[in-house]
Amino acid sequence: MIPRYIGIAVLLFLPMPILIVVLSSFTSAGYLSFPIKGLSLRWYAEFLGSADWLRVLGTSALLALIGAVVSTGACFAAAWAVVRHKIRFGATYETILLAPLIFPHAAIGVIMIVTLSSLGWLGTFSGLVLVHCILTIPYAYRPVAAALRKSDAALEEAAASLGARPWRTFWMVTLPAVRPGLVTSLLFTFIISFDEVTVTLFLVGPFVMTLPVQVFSEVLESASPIIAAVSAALVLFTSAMVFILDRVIGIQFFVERD
Amino acid sequence: MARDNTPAEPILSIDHVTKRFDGAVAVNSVSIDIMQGEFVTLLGPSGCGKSTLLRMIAGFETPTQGRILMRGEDMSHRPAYDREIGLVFQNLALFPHMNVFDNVAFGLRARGRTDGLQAKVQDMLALVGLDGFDTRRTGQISGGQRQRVALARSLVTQPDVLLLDEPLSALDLKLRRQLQTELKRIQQETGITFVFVTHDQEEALSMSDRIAVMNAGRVEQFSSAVDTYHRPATEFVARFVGETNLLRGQVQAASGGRVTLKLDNVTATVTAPAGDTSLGLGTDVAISIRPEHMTLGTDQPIAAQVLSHSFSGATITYALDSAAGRLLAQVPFQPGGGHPLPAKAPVSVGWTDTAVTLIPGKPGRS
Repeated sequence: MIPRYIGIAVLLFLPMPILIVVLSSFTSAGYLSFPIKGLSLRWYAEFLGSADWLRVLGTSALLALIGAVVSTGACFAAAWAVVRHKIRFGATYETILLAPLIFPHAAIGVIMIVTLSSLGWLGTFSGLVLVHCILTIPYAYRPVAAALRKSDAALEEAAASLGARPWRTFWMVTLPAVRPGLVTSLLFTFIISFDEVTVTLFLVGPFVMTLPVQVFSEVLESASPIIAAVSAALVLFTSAMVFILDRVIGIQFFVERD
Repeated sequence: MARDNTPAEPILSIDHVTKRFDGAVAVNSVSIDIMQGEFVTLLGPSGCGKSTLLRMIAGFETPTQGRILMRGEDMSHRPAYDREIGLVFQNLALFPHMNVFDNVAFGLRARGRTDGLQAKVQDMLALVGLDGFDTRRTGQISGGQRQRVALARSLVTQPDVLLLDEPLSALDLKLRRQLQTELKRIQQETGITFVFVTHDQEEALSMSDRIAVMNAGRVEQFSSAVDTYHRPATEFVARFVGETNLLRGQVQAASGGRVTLKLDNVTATVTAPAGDTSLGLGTDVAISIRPEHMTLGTDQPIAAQVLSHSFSGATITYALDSAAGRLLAQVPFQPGGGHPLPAKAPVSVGWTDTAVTLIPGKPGRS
């Protein structure tokens, strides 16, 4: 019986920090504390009324969007070559693409400082785009390659034998078949990029800042409950994305009966 | 749909086609001509190269050597989408995200032939017996219906040649028989040339005008279904198509279009039609006699003993042990004619000379 209580305790414990952050964002006090003193939405108003916060929110959203599209597109091309054309050393290329997953983020941060400064991209938006693409590529490659492996190459041959030129086959047959993988990849990479702190921390500067890093540096300087409000907004946003993801995978399940 | 074609010009010519994969020869210098409106079957065991040949005709593989001609025009390097060739896949490859109508309409839309598209698709669905299935999803219909959708999809563009890659192999026997009959009917109604790939010799015999029997990348024999069965050109064909008794021997005398053989193991001599081949005295040859052409009695030339029998309603097939080795003899079953012969019963077997096929042997080949 003891394991069951432990299990329940763990399940209750896991969402606790999230719950505490969300609850403390509704405080009316001027400092971060728990349990909260009085209920108010003033920190949300402050967050949404602050040009600084909205600017970093915009930066993060744009960065995540570009990162998601670029990684997903690049991974589709890579997976196409490895899965469909069975290029030589395909398995090696796959390992390289998945490498950022196991590489320590602190090391990547240091390497990227050196790399970006030699390019003159340190502290620029383009630099962040490059790094976020590298970090999200493993998350993009896996669902895209899996979808491509699952979709039957004979479908493409069938389309060709029916007179469809390569582009038509791509749009009408290949893309619909791998769409669940592409959507999964886009949402996943967006979330990964949007929440990324460790590596980005090394690379931000006075001219470019992302939302999660801004939260981090704010925590170091002050204990304003606005951080809780921003974090709660991030939690809400990420949960919404995961919910959409789950729905997509649910749809995928129904589409793949045959 | 009948096209103005002189019989002399084949619609599809395979001209000394060879395909190698990393040095391994999959198809070895195959040459066959297929005529407009024919139902031709590529028959052979798995790995004989029949599917590779089909994929080259479809345009998914390029011949290493040789040419593939359609109406005299070299197709060898033309992409699949530029050939007027339909293909029914073994796993059907229906588009899962489209309904039945859109699957069938795909080829017309891809080729930009959208005039009267609705009517053409409906006519084709009617031809394959799928009226009213337009809006069904491909996952919502039975295996047999999916076959029909695949067939309709590749026929609606009226290809010059329709290739079928073992499309019936996943179905149960009864449905398979039914669809064989229907395939043949649809082929005759549309007049489209069918090239059918199968490893099932019964299927090949029942459907084809001509059969190309393939083995180890080569065509062993390309002839009518009747000749493939009754005049096998090689030992492989004799064994692969139907059951047969193969006996080996040497030519003892040849005259007047007939040869007399001295058989190995038995003292009997047989005479057989020599066919087109002229054989020198002493040449190694084999003869093939189908079990149904064997005669079972008490006054036949070869003494034998019954090993076992199998009863199939109209006939009984006996496995016999004889001086010439193990033989099969199939005899009609006479109602009221008593029970099948028991095991170990002494009998003698022979055959009618006209039913014997002479196969020029290659020494040392089994």
